[in-house]
Amino acid sequence: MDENEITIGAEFACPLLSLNWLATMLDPLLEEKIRNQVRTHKVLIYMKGTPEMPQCGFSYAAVRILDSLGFPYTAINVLEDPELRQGIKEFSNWPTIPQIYIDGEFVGGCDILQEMHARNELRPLVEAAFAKAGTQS
Amino acid sequence: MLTPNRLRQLLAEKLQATYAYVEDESHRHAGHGGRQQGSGGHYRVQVVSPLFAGKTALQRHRLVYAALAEEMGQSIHALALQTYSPEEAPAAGIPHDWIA
Repeated sequence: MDENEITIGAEFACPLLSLNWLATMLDPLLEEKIRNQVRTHKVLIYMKGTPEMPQCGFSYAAVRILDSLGFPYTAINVLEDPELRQGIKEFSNWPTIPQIYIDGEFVGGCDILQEMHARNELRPLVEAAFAKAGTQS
Repeated sequence: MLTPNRLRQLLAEKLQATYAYVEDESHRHAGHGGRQQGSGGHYRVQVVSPLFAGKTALQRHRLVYAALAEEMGQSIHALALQTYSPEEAPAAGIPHDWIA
């Protein structure tokens, strides 16, 4: 590669990089809102639809598992909030819905929840979250 | 359209997957934002990769999503994922001598 090619490449690369960066930047207010949501709920699921009426098979499977644990959880319907629907993907660095948070920590999506439940790892995690003082239910 | 074989190739190239079972389940999800609406298909994937050894499920799924970043939200609408290291594959009933 000669010197010209390097220069041209650099000129084109910079604006593309910055555009790309802007496109994936999470709005600070939205980020704060999400941070607050995951911090103030012991068990939180971002889902499509509601626990009573899930709008996607993966969300349905996830809430059935949470239901089976017998602990309260909070569900947020991302279909009611397009900004949140996109924002939560960037916040968690995870491209799909549902997303489950326990005690402020990202656990994963439906498949991981199922795996953990099958290995009896999920209930202890939720029990530990509720045993801790501090955050709300 | 992303074929199961193309998906398998991507997993082999980017994750050194030694086995990748891919099932196109799009037909089961017609009418709720699936391929008909132009937002990609539903796939069920079992993948075996040496890169998964010693990693949590969360880290493994992130690796798969990163490998398929260009397809996520485009030709892939949803992905049901099961990830195994080569050591875990036999216990999961996966033929370990398969090549993707």
